[in-house]
Amino acid sequence: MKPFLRTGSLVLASLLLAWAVAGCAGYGAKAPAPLTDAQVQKNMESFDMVWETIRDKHWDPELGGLDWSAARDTLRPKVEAATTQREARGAMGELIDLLGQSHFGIIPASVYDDATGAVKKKDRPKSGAHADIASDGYSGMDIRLVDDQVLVVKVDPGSPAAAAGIVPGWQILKVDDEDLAPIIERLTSALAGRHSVSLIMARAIASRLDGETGEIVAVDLLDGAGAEVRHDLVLSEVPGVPVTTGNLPEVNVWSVTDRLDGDVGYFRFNYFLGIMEIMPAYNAAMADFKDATGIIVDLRGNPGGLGGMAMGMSGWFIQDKGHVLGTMFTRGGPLKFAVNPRLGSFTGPVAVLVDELSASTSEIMAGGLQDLERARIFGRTTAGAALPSVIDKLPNGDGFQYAIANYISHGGVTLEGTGVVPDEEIIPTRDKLLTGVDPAVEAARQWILQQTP
Amino acid sequence: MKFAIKKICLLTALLAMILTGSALADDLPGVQDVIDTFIKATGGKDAYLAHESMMVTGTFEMPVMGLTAPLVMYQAMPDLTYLKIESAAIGTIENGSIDGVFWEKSLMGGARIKDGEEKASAERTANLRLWLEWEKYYTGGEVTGIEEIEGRPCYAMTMTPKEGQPEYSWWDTETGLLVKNAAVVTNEMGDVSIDAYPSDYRDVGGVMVAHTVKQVLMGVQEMFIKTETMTWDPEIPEGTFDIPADIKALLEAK
Repeated sequence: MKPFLRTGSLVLASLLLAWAVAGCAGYGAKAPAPLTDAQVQKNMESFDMVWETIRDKHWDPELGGLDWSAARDTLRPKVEAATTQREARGAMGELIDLLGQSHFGIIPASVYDDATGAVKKKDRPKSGAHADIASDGYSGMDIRLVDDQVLVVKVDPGSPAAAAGIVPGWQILKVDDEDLAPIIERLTSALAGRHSVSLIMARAIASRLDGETGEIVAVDLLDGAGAEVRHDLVLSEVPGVPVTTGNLPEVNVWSVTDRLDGDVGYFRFNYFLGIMEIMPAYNAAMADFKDATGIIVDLRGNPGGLGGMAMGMSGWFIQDKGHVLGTMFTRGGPLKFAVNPRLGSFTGPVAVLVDELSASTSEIMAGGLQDLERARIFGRTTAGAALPSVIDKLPNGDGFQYAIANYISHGGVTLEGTGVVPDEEIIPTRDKLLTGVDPAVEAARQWILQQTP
Repeated sequence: MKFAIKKICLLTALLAMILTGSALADDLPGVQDVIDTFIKATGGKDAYLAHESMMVTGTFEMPVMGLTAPLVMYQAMPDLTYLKIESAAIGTIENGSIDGVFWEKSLMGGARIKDGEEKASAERTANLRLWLEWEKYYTGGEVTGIEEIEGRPCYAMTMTPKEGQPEYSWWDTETGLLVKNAAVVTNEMGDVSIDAYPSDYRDVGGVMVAHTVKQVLMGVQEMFIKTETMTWDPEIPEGTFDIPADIKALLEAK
């Protein structure tokens, strides 16, 4: 029991991070408006919440030697005197900036709503026949932002997108008649200098394709031949098994086990959650791949989850005790992400696929295995959201993102803000995707085959 | 004038501290006295010796995660233990001990065998009669003073295990009950601090047993073990303490 108790904090942090980052994005400030007395009061309460949260939860109680009380005395009056929301937010930002650390920020309420797609969803026309269906739906498309193009990188078989004939490489131009280009432009401007920009932007775009099961999403695309086409996708049920972990929202988890040409084992899963579903599938796959040429673990798009799962999963690739993926520094002290070696662990080549939507536990696992020189990493630089951070809502409606622990990889790298840099960068360009081959999977598979005599 | 008053107050306070400290040093009980008081307060030596095994059912809770999972635990003399926590959210977690082998397995982390300080710590807690036989596990101890824990005056005690880092405990000066224990256990994850707060002592078969234990991990995260039923000398299903196959495989691989 004790090891679980110890990983509890990791669990919490990783889980919260997964959702916090997924829900965080933003852009453009609206025209400043004068504040009411009530808004000023809410801003004061918000400032106090920010100040107290950092004082009580930052992993360094000394805050790097900052005189935190003096900071409050200086900046609180600025919030009180602010005549616009932007000024008030700016004063809170000044307080946070004193830390000189990433993963702390104030997210304007309007941006928060826009980034999560809340506004868009609300405005989206509903199908009358399905208006009462509560479950989330999906289009079956996995999308990424590549060179300011929103590209379809994966289409699930049997999904609405597959039924419409959409294939990887097609570019999405509009969703429900909303042109994506200006959104990307605004996000790029608003997020300049922030961390996890790629992740936040990709989430913001992807959220526009979300909706309820049965809801219709009109998508304008550029097909493989360069022609503009429009498809009305009737969202179907999100695949996978619904799982609930404590206070966290229910999510559907799924995994894919496959054997690729050349006897290369392949395993992909969408969350480090759903232990009762994912771990047995993973364990069975690893046992089955025992004699494979190599193994590919695909963490692309995986936002993380339970930190303990990374330690247990990595144990399939490590033979000896004493290896750690990294160390998490909490206010109570450091905790190592120790790998527990499995009996019969795999000794052949291992490739891990990542991209800008691989976050949190995905980064911990990929970065740790890379540092231990136990896996070669393919894909794109990860989100850089490996710090356990959360986003609280402030009394004034803004979001407040803050880290509750520091995380240093085994190789001494602070992943937060920088992410895991792949050994082989694979950019899923439109041309590559249109060939019908997943470029990252193929690069990893080829590398594995080259390792085999 | 204000300065003068402050100075007088300070001197008075210092004098009071010195006098109090002097009196405490003379009046403090010894380690065995505190433990004897605890044993007496919880039922007496004979009550402990009357039992060879026990079973507990209850819950493991992490409020900050909204997690509550049922647990069952068996324990028998001299060092047999088995604990199982089951939850759809975190999977199944088991740990146990028999014949000097202390093990743990979970769906999340796999199987492992405890060693070093972690094993020594587990050995101490595996003994149902720890406080009757504490000298088997500790080289000594010292009552260092009286401190307030959750509003109650307690004897503060430091004990040095034969293996592991010093442990700190606090015992209510009036009731004699153990109200806090603080330990640091070193394993692969590093030095892991756990503060435990036993409370809600209830009579079970002549022994007062804490039915709630709050644990604070690394000084920041709270979790609770709550006892719903406790039975002394229950019928323990055959094979309960047997070493699982994957632990056996690990032992053989060693």
